[in-house]
Amino acid sequence: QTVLTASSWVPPTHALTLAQAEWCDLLARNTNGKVKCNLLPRAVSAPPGTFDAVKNGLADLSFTVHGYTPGRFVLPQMAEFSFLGDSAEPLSVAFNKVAMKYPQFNQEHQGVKVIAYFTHGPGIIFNTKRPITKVEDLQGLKFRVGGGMVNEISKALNMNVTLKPAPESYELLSGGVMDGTLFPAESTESFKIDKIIRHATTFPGGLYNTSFIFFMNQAKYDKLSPDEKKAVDAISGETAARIIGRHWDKVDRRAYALMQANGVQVTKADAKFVADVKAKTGALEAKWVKDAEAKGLKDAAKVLAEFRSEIAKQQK
Amino acid sequence: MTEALIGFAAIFALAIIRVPLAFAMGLVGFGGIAYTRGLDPALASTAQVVYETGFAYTLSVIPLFILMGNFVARAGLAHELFEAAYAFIGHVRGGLAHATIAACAGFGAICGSSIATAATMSKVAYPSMKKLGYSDSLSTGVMAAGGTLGIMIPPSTIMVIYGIITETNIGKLFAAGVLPGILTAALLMAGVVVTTSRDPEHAPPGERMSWPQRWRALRGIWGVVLLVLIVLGGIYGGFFTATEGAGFGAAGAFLFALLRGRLTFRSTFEVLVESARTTAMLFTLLIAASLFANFVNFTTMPGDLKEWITHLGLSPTMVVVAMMGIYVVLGTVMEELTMVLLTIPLFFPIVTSLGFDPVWFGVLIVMIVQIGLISPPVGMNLFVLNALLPGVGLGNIFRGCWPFVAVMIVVLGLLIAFPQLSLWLPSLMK
Amino acid sequence: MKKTLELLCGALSAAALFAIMTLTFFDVIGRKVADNSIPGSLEMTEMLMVVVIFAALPLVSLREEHVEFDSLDPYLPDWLRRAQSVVVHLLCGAVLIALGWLMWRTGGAFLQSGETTAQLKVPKAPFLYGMGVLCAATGVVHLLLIGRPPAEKMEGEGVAL
Ligand code: NA
Ligand code: NA
Repeated sequence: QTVLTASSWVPPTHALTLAQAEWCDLLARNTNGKVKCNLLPRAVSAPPGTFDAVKNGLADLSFTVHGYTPGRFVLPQMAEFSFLGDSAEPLSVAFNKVAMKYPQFNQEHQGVKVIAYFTHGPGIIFNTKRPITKVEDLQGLKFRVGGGMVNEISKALNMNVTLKPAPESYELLSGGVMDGTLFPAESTESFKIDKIIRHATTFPGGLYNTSFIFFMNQAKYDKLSPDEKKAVDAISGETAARIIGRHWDKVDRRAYALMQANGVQVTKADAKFVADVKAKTGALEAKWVKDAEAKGLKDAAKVLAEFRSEIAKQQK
Repeated sequence: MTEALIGFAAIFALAIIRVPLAFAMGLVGFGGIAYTRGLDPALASTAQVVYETGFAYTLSVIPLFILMGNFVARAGLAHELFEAAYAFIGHVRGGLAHATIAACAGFGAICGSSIATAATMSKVAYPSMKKLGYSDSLSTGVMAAGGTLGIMIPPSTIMVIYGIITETNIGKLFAAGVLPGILTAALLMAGVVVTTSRDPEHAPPGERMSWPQRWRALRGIWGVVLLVLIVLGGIYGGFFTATEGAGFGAAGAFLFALLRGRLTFRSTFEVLVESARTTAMLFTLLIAASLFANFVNFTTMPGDLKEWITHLGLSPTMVVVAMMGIYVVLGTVMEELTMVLLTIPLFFPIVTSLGFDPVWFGVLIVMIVQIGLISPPVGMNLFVLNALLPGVGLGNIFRGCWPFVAVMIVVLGLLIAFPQLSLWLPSLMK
Repeated sequence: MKKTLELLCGALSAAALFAIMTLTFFDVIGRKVADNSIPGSLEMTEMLMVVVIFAALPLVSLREEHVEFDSLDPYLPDWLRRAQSVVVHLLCGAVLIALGWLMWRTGGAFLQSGETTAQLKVPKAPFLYGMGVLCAATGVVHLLLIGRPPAEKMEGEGVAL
C-alpha cells in the first residue's frame, strides 16, 4: 500500500482541504484502496513555503499560490488578469488545459509533479465604507491586498494598498485599520469578514484572479508502480481542476447568499468602469507577454488569446 | 505515538545535561523529521523554518514590545506611579505594600515583562518600605508577586508567544488579561491585609496625604496614562494592529525617555542591543519549537492523545484542572518559558478538542507562569530580587512569597470556574 | 576579538531594531495623516527582522543567555559542571556551524530560483547567506567558550518573561 502524506494550510473545512480530500478519496477508490492519503493534522510549513516543502519531500501532496514566491513563476500569472471568467470551474479547466499544452509551464515547476493548474472564483472589491461605482471611487480608501498580479492591478488603478497576509484581514477591517480588501466571494466567509464588510463591487469576469497548483513530490510520483501512476494520471489535469473549481464555486455561491443575508450592498461595475480599468491595466498584459517570451514561451500573446477563447468555450 | 514520546524524553535528557532548550528541541525535531520523512526533507524543512521565522512580519511584535518595556523602564516612570499610589493608599496599614501592588499594575500596563516590572519596582518601593520598618520578607514578597502583573495586564510577552505558537489572536488575549490582572491585584492586596493583620508592627501605615497633594501626585503619571492610551486605545480603537501598536508604543516610550533626559547615545544603544538579544534568544526557541512541532505532526501522537483522554472519561473541566495541577508542581522547579514551550504542543490540542476557548486557556497559562515565577525553589522573580537586594537573603524572600502564591492559586481557581472573567472583554470586540 | 564582535553585531542589530521601530511609527503616521503607507514597509520590516535576530545571535551565545535548565547546578561537583560545559559547547558549536552551512546552501538555491520580496523585488538570497554566516559565527563563539568559566550575568539579563 502506498500512502501520500498530504498537507493543507487552510482550515479543515475550507474548500481547498475538502477538494484535496475528494481527490484523495477518488484515487483510493480507483486503486481499490492501494493508494491512500494521510492528511496531516496541521500544515507542514507556512503557506509561502508549501512549494518547497513538497519539492523537498516534507509532504507528498499539497496546493500552493504562485504569488507566494515572487520572482519564481511568470507564466501562470496569465490566469490572474482582470475579466477572465465568472466562476472557478470553467476557468480552472481552461487554465489547466492551456498550461498543460505548453511544456514551458511545467518547466517552471521543475522538481514537482503538477497535478492541476487552477484558480479561485472572480476577484471582488470589498469595503466597509461606501459603494464603489467608478474608478475614481477607489481613491481615498485603504485596501489590503495579497501578493501576485492583484498587487500590480491595484497599483495600476492608483489604489492605496498595503500588502498584508489574508488571515490578518479580520483584524485590519474589524478594527478599522483598513477600509477594504480584494478577495473572491468565498474568502469573506473563510476569513470571517462577512459581517464586517458593507459594500462589494463585482466585475464581469472578476477584477483579478489567483493562480494555484495542486501538486505532488516528483520522487514520490516516480516511485509509484506503473498501475499507480496510471491511476494518478487518470484523475490529474481536467478531473482535478474540475473537482477543485466546483468546491470553490459552491462556497462562492454560499458566500453570496451570506452577503445578501447580511445586507451587503453589491454594486456591479458598469461598462464605463470596466473600460477604465481595462485602459489602466492594459500595460500589464503587454509586460507579461514580454516576460513570458523571455522565459521561453513563444508567441505568448497568442497563448493568452487561446486561454481566453478556451474559457469562453468552457463557460458555455 | 512511541516516536513522539521518545522525542519528548530525548529533549528532557538533553535539557538535564544543560543543553540549551532551543538546541535540544531543534536537534530532536530535526532528528525526528529525518527519521519519519528522510534526511533531505529534514534539512529542507529546517532551513525553511529558520528563514520563515526570520522573515515573519507579524513576529516583529516581539522585539517591539520588549523594546517598549525596556525604554519605559529607563524613563523612570515607575517612581511617579509609586508616588501616586502612595498618595492615595499609603496611610492604611501596610500602605506601602498596597501602593507597590497598585504601582506594579500601572507599570504592567506599559511593560510586558514580569521580571522587568519586579526589578524596576524594587528600586523605587524597597527603600521606602525599608525606611518604615517593613519586614524584608513582606516587601520582597509584594514586589515579586506584584511584578507578575506585568505579564497578565497587557501588553505581555508571554501572551504574544502563546498567541504565535497556538495561532490565537493576540489582541483578544490582551483584552482577556485585563480583568484577571485587576482581580489578581485586588486579591494580592487582600493578601496583604491578611498578612499584616498578623504582624502589624512590620507594616506601619504611612502618612496621610491631603487631597491637593494627591492630585499633584496624580498629575505625575500623565506619561504612563498617555502611553497606555496610545497603545491600547490605538489597538482597540482601530488606529493600528497589535504589531503596529507595539512599534508605536516603542517609539512613544523612546521619545518619552529621550524628552525626560534619561537617554544618552550609549544607553539607547544598550537598550536596543539588550532588546535584540532577548529577541534572538526567543526566536531560537520559536524556531526550535516549530521544528519539534513539525516532527510531532508526522507522528500519530495528536490523534492518540485525544483518544486516550476521551477513554479516561474525565469531565473536560477536570482535565484542565489536572493540567493546572501538573503545571503548578512543575512551575516550582522549572523555568517557566521552558515549561510552556515544552507542554503547549501537548496540552493545547487536547484543550481545544475538548471545546475550550484558546483565549481562556491562554489566560490560565499566563496565571500559571505568574505562579511559577514566584514559587520557590526556582522562581525567576525571586532570583532577580535576590540579586538586586543583596542584603535581604534568599531565605527571607522564599518565606515572603508563600502567602502570595496561595492568593494566585485562588485566582487560578476563579479563572477556571468563571471563564467570563477572561472572555467577557474579548467578546465585546467585533 | 570579543569587543569587536560585541560592537559589530551590536551595531547591526541595534540599528535594525531602531529602524523597525521608526519604520512602523512613520508607516502608521503616513497612513493616517497623508493617507499613504510607506510602500514595502512590511517587507522592509521582514528584512530588518532577519538582521535583528541573526546579528544578535552571536551575542546571546557569547553571554550564554540561552534558556537552560540550570536548577541542578548547585548540586553538581565542579569537575562535572566543567565536563558538561565542554560537551554542551561542542554540541551547540557543531549544530550552529552545520546550520550555517545549510542556510548558505539554501541561499544558493534562492539565488538560482531568483526569489524576491513581493513589492520591492529585493532578492532574498543575500539575507540567507547572511543568516548562514552569522549562524556559523555563533557556532565559533561556542567553540571558543569551551573551557571558559560561565559568563557573569547581570540581574534579570536575557530573561524574557
Ligand atoms: Na503588561
Ligand atoms: Na518556580
